[in-house]
Amino acid sequence: MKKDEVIRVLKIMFRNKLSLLGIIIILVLMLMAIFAPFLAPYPDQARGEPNLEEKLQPPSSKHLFGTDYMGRDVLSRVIYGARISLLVAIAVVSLGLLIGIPLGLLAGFKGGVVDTIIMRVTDIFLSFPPLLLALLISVTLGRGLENTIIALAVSWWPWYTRLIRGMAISIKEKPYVEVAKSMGISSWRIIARHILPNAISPVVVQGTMDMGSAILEASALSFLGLGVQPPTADWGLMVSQGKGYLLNFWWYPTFPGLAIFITVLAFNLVGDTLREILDPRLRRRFL
Amino acid sequence: MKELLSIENLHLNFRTFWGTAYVLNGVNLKIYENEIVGLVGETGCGKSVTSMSILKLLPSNAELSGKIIFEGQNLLELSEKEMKKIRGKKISMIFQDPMSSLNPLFKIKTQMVDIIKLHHNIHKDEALKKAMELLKAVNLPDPHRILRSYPHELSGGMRQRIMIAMALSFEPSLLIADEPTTALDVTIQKQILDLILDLKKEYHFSVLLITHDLGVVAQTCDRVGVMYAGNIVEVADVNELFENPYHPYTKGLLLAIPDPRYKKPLKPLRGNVPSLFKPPHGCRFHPRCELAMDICRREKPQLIEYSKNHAVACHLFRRGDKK
Amino acid sequence: MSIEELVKVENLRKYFPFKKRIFSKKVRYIKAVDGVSLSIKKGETLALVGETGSGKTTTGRTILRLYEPTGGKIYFGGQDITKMPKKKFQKIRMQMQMIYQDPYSSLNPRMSILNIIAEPLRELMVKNIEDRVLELLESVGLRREHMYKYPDEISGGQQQRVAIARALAVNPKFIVLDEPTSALDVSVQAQILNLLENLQKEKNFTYLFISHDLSVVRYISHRVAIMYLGKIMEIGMVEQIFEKSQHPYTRILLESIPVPDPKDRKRKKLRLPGEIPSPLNPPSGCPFHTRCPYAKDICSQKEPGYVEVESGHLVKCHFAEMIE
Repeated sequence: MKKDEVIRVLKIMFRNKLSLLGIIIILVLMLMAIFAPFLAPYPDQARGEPNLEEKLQPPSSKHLFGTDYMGRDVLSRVIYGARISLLVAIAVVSLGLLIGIPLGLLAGFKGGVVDTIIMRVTDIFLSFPPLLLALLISVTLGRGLENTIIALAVSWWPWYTRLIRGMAISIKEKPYVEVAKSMGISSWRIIARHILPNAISPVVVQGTMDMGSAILEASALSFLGLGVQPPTADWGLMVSQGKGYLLNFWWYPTFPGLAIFITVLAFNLVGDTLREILDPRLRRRFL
Repeated sequence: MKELLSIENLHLNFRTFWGTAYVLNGVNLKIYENEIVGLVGETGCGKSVTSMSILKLLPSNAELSGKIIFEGQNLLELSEKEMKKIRGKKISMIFQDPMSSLNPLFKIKTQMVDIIKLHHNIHKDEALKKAMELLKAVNLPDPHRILRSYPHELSGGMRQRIMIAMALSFEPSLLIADEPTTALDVTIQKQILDLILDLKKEYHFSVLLITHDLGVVAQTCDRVGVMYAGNIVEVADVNELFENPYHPYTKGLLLAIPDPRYKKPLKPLRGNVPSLFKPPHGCRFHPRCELAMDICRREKPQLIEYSKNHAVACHLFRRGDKK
Repeated sequence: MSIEELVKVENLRKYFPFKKRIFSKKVRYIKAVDGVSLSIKKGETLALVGETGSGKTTTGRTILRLYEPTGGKIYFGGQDITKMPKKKFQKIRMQMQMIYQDPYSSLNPRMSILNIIAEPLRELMVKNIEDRVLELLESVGLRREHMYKYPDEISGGQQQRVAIARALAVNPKFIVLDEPTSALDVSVQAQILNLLENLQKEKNFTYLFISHDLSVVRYISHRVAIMYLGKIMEIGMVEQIFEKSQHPYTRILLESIPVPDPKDRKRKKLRLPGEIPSPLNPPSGCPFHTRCPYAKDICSQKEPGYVEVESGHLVKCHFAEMIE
């Protein structure tokens, strides 16, 4: 994208109240993740050290979000949880894009047999419900953060492939691609310089929104006991562990649940605005 | 001649994210009864939004001021409910793309009968009879078949005829035609323009014909207004305008269009249409005008009647110094 | 074939398969181009005129082999390129360029003007690319300041100039102009027409000018071919077509042009019933007979051949030379 176009897009994002809210939340989360050891009141407890004397305390000035069944400060653990969640979000989406974009470009531009093979493979992946597929892979690979990321990325890339293939097919019919071909420009250059830059916008939008979904699904895996393992502070895991305490000790599952909710919402707000700006059909609303 | 519509000092701004677009900058135009007025100009000159302003069909970010007097009342002061009584009845409109005004899911019959029934408050059979009459009036062969068709089964020319038929159903006193033939082939264009001329004779309405094509204007209109960047720069009878144009922009346009009768050298206008977000000060045409003077950069020229039935907005033509 | 002729097309046909129902096996064909023969001399502009669906654009695109021809022969510079293998054709293809109706869609919106024009130059291993780009920009009336802009930051006329500059970069001999000014405003149209004319004088370009606008055609072209339903109905020098046309269709086309002069009002009602028939079901005999005011029995039975009414002026009508 051109530099001043990026600035233009950012300007709109900042003017739109909802997307500004989203951006602020994501920035706060990032800062929380980076400076977790300094921000968390009880970093040791966040890393898993039990504190059994203060088990299941309600929110107070000492423990703003209360404590969990091992007496650990929920606020500290939520702050540390941002690290895992953002890592999962970025890693899953990046891996998905890394696999999905080249395959989609190839399928869309080359067409024919290449297209058929790539698209049949993606169809197979898409025929599973994504969470079920991630679950299966997760079970096969075993528990742990890395395996969660791999499992989610594998269930994720076909969406990007399909999206970018559709874009590539429509763009390769454009006169400027026809001209480039007539001038003897190689296929690789045409893909890199003409197709990709014009096909990427909707994928960027989808990727942004998917960061939220990735966190949600990683939390789901954690909730089912397949993702991150205790005592690591992870929002999904915390909700899972706290679910039995909801009626008597509401703060325990509620705060990590809220953290998931707010983060997913923030990514969606940003993604939504981004789509409206980048989609030429919706662009007029801002022009 | 009796005055039918009078646009007085119409200003229109669009507030957008990128700033305010100054789209109309004091438009003045009169339409008399039983005449065809052409409004000609290039993309973005404001000719279409002028017509949309008359019907008050503008997006919510539009700021409209001035006066549009139609049959003695100022349309800008009317409520939406009162406008509905004027829109489509006293003032009808046809567009460049008739497909966009027809619902692709319903047969022509359904669409025509519904509208006629609703507005005339008559029974379905009567409405159908009326629809047939209208289709015959616009010279559509085999109206029975047309009524049974869906919009996509008809050609562009036929669809435009249907739109004209529907516009006529309330016997409007003003028909606004916004580039009605731009999407059509020349032979079909000629047929549609002929049709409008015939119907005007029969039904005695006035037409505001919006077009970018000076040929269409020359062949069809009685009077012409030339628009440039949100202003009407010249208004005259059609013969006078083509024979003796005053405004440098009008002159430039006439020198820039090719003539199908012989090969003449083309003299393009220099430069491009200005941005409406940052329109030039003074006369909006001055950056492209070869005769621009100091005053043109400072002061906006007013539209004055320089000679009989020939008004111009240019500092070269000042009131009083008649030739 | 004379050396003077740069492009020569013989009996060119392009049929597009068309299935009416999804499951029907019967494939029908749209005969978009059906037996077109023409030749264009070096330095000449041939205009291809017709209404929507006449096949004029398909003819242009098939000559460039953007569509593979169904039948007929295409010669370029004396060489038969109809079935030439892709690799060999590529070198010739560079000498044939195309300018599109919508200049914006012919420029990559994500590339600066500099990069758009530099791309073919890099492929040709040109040195001092920036100087050459500037030279090309100046030859189409643009300046250095336009080099760093993007397509959506310049006007439609300037976009078309950039597209022309890019075509010039590969030193073409033959340019297909597909309605190059119909998306532009009248004041800008004249700029582009003059530019194209001057470039032709300077570099001896050969143009195929595809258009529906007869006024523009009168201005720019040396010879004119009138197309109807995939066939050329009349071809001749520009004066022959505009002043001595012998085909009823040409006559009617000329009659329907809105002349920009109110004193020359054509009050005569157009005697052209109906609209262009579907190319899926072309009429038998003369394709124009369904709308022709002079049609006789023979017209629906037998397709007329070409009659040479004057040197170089061919008319496809049974009654050529007989119409008043």
